[in-house]
Amino acid sequence: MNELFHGPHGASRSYLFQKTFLLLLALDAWALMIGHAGRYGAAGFNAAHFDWLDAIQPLPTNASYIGVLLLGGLLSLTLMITGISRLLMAVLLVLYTYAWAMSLLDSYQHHYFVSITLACMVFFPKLSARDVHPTEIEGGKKRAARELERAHGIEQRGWVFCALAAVILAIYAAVDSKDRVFTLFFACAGALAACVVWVAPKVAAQPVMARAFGWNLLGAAVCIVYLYTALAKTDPTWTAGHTIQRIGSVKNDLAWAVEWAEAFGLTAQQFWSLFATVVIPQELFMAAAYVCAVVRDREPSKLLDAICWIAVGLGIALHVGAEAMHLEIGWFSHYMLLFAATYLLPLSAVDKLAIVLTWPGRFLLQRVDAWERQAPGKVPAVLTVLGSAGAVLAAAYFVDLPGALATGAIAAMALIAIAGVCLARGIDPRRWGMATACAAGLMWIAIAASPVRWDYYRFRAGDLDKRGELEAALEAYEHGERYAPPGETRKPKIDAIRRKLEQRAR
Amino acid sequence: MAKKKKRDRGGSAESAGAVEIEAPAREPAAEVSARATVASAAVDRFNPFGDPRAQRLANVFIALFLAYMLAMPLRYYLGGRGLDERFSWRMFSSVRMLKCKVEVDEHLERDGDTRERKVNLTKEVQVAWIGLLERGRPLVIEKLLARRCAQPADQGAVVQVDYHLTCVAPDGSAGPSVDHHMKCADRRLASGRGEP
Repeated sequence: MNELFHGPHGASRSYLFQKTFLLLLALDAWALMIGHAGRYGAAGFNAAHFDWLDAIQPLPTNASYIGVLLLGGLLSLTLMITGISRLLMAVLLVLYTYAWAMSLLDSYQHHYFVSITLACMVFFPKLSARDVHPTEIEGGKKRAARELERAHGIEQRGWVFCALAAVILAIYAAVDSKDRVFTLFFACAGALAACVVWVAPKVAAQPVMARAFGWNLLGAAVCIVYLYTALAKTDPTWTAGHTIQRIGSVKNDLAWAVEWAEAFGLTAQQFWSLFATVVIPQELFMAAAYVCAVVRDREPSKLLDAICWIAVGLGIALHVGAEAMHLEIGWFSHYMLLFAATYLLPLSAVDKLAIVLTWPGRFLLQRVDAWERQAPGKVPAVLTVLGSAGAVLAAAYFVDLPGALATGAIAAMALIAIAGVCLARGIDPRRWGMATACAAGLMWIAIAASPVRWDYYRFRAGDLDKRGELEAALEAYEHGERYAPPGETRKPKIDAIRRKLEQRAR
Repeated sequence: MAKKKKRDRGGSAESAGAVEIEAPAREPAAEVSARATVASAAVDRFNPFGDPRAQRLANVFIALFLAYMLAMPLRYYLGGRGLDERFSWRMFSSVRMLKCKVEVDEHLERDGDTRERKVNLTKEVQVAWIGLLERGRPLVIEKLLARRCAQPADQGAVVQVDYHLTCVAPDGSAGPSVDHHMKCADRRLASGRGEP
């Protein structure tokens, strides 16, 4: 048990995973989950996931649900910027878990899976960008000129790689991949792989290793999840191919494959049966691969490498395939692709990929260190924290969603309390302040740049209209109009509700 | 070969492992050994559970966590949880793909007469809850039926509420059919159709 769960792993793996996962979680909460908040508290009805929770919690409302999501996202992004604090990771775990557990309206199993992941992340190694990629140029005075030149070269190539990777990821995020999911994925993944091979510098002869059981435990948890998903598919209806045809747009998307199979003498039913049954060994293999991935950095072998490479391919087939089938599973595929990239790719590749985060991380650390050195003392720290608290409140105000301002006030007070504790312990709190202010700014950008507010107001208005609450529906529709994308105005609905209200008044 | 190297150096498995990943074969043994020490120190620097007591506590947590991960989905298979597939990793299962239709009826009593009427679910709850009723979630069924029992008796007192679910399996055959009822006197959810 000690060897399996306490063995070392490449530090860049858990660092890259932790940072990207926290970023994804924050964006997921803000840009996706809030859109469904209108359901909460509607008609005064709710059932929580657990009886005991129902007994102790007040009726969730759209404002309380949005509040928990905004706060969870803020904390997630602040932790991403500042680094892991086990206590605050545990708070994030509680907040996120409460977000889905408060109501059965959120029955997505992947939100439960995110909670499982967060529970393991509490026990991840605490790593900074400097730990993963120790600064090459620092201490340069003692170095030979040639070595310093080499370090500068690495630094510059690292920044070029960061810029290219950022462009590739931005393209992947911005392009609507509706009917070309695989094409877009392979184009972007291929470009990123080319950058890793030809542009990204090799930072050190051997990647830094780290040890904390959270990483290994998470690998084991993913293994169990894959085992059970395979077990769930062993029933006759699945293996006969009936169930898979009901999923998303699978039947239409694979019509060409059915025709192709028929040309080889298989019936459509035989094809679907084969296609569905193949998923079972595929998921079992993935389960085994995650255990291999956990021991791989400690006991490198060609066999483990081969297993992990095959699992990368299968992971892409499963999770990019899920996107191509238009399954309504939010960003689950992207979470799983992050798992595949950090656990299953070779350490040398992950170590280079991590440059995307360690280079900007090291740059920020240098600036903050210099700032703290040049302006020591409590006054600048207190002023920074108060300014950041103000920025959080301002961002919450501009978010313009129910519960946002109260959430902003809670976040600002929490920041001031954390700063107080830091000052009492002789720690400079200004990096917490700056990180929270940045997170609040990104929260506003994520919400303003996505259609989440439009989704929230129109879904809520539509539901109120359906249940005959016309005044509230009109208010929601009118408020949502300012966020309507071009050509999607609800003006005709607004006019219809106004007419109904006039008739009712007469 | 790798194992032999580890034994020869007499270092911990972790430090040896860390070196063998990247150490070039041409490096002198002393240099490799020095690096092994550095790598080992680096590994342990990030390990918050290095000392034996912390590791024992960590092992207890790991055992409990794994037991939970294994037992929670097993509840579905061993506990006869039927339509409630939560926490069992049964995404896109045959149960999830059932196509079901839900009906809720209530029995009203006024002046000694009893009559039955359908509950308009669209007016009663947000549409997502109807989806959950169609997925047979017992917690939702119980709450909704209790809520109907508690409604004002303007058209007569509700004495019983019935829940009826009929499903079609993914292969087009008749799927499970579920009946529950709640007597408003005790507000307990019971299986089957009860006599009002």
